[in-house]
Amino acid sequence: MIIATDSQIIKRGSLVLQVEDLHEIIEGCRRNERISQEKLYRQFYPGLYALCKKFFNNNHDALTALNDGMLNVFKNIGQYDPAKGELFSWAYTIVRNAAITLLISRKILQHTTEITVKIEKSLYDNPFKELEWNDIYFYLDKLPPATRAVCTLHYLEGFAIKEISEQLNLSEGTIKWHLSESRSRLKALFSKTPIH
Amino acid sequence: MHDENLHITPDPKKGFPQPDIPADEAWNKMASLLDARMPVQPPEPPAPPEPSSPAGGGLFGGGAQFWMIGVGALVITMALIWGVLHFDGRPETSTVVNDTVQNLQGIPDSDTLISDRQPGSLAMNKTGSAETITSGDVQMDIRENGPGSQNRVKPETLPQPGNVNDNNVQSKVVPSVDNTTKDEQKPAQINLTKDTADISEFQPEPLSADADTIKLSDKPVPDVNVPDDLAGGGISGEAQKPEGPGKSRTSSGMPENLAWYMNINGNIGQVVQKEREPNAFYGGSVTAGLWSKKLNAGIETGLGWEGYDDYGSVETNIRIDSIPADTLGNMIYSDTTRTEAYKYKYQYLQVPLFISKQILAKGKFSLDIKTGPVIGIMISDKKSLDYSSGPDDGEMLGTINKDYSRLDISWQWQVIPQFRWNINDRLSFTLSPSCIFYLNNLYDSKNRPANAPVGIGVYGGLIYKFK
Repeated sequence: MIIATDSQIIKRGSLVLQVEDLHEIIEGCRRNERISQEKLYRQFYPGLYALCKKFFNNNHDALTALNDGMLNVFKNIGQYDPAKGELFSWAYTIVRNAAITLLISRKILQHTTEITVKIEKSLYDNPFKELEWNDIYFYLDKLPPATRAVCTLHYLEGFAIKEISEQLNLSEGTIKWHLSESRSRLKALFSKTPIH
Repeated sequence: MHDENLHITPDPKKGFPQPDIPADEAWNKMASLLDARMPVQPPEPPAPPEPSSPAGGGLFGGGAQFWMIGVGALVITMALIWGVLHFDGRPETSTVVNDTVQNLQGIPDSDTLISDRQPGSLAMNKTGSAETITSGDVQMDIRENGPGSQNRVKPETLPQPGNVNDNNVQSKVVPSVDNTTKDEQKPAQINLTKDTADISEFQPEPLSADADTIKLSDKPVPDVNVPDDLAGGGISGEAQKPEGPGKSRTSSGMPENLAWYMNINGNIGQVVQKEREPNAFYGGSVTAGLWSKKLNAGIETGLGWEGYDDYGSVETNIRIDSIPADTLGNMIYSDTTRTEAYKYKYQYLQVPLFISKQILAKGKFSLDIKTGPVIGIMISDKKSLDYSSGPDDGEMLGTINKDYSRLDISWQWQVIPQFRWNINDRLSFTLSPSCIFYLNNLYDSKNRPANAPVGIGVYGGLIYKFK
């Protein structure tokens, strides 16, 4: 998967923190120091915003999910164990959970249609495999919110159908229906709108 | 492919698209959220007080400090009482009496009783029993023992000779006049009685030849009006002064057994309430009153100002939803409390109506009991936020209101043991512990603490007596 083109990438350059700096920032966040929290927030902001934007068409909702997630990051940063993984991955998971929670609270996932037939293998093919960020967002915006969320979790975030079913409190058949629906819609879109 | 957990976490080193919302704007919103949910604490924040007593303490402070001051005041009070009860030193007036008497002893009779007398008004009837001797302003009751008694004057009592002078002496003297010639006169024995002095050995020089002009009679001994400045006591100064057959009046027309007085004092104290921290009050008042020397009692009223400190708080139970960092999707809730504590400053205009009764007098000290109603009229109230803690938003589960409403009119009843030290005949210093009962409870019945308030405090001030 191509993440982004050069023109679309924020060159992290000097923003990439050294290990010593990150350690100090974490310690500052544990002391609830605003300056450290701002440094960490600005450091992770592009990646986490990109994550949230996958779930929401609306920028405001995306930022709300991001800030809700970062609030949990700052609240629970004392529980972060560097031995278990990078801080960004830990924060990424928290923000993604926040986005899912926001989706649930908006009640946009209520759907009763299910697929009970055997899943075709083609369902697993990732329609976003060769897309760039702008194209991903372009096509995601064409999907209904619930289908977009399921599609994002499955194709872009790597969640299994069972996991999505548990997280969104939907049946696996419903998840499969959303995935099938997304593929159908995207297939039509791909034929009408060539990829840039 | 996706039957197992293969969650994708992008590599932050690779880069991401430009966010639609600038980072500055996003951080501003994040900072606002942090300020609301995770407020930055001061570098060394003082420990917040207990929710049940967020802003108490008062002027004396709370708890042990208050009681230490209270015990100290009690010790001082007990020392004053002990001083009154064990006051065995001769008062200053006794020295004056002795000096005066000695002066009397050394002065020839003609200078004391005779020189200023008007012969026409002084006539001695050797057969009389008693007579009033008038010499200028000097009046003496002289009692003759009977016919044949010697012409010897034996005064029995002299009231309050502390300020005796030639022109302002009214003394009750009951001499025994022997039916002897004037040449055989013996020194009279004068007994001076006062609450602090008893001179029995006073023997003045024999009366001079002029004494034979004293007219003795058997008329009953009239009572003698003693001027105020010869009388002891505090405000009244009437303690040992006998009343004459008629009510005498002062130069201002006031009956002599009544006296105006003015009281200026300040007070501090605390309103105490069970399950609440004490709240300080402080103020001052000016009162004027009328004192009955006959009853040893008085009544006074006036105007006062009183400032009250108070506090209140509102505690709100808040439920906040959050997501644990290491689990997926499950919403968890945390309940917490938001506290908003307030400080109040009230000002009251107070009008007291006190009655007083002297119950003990010893030397310059006396003890009165003063009691009466006081009406307090609230003239201002000032509310300020003392501190707040807890999240500003969240699901409100319930509220505990400890922010009480005060009444605009406060009826009180005060009981005041008043310790008084008479600096002189007119001026007295007072120190008085006080107990205040708030008859209608300081607070509105719709929003008041569970327990009734009581006030304890100390008055200190000056009393000035007008003649």
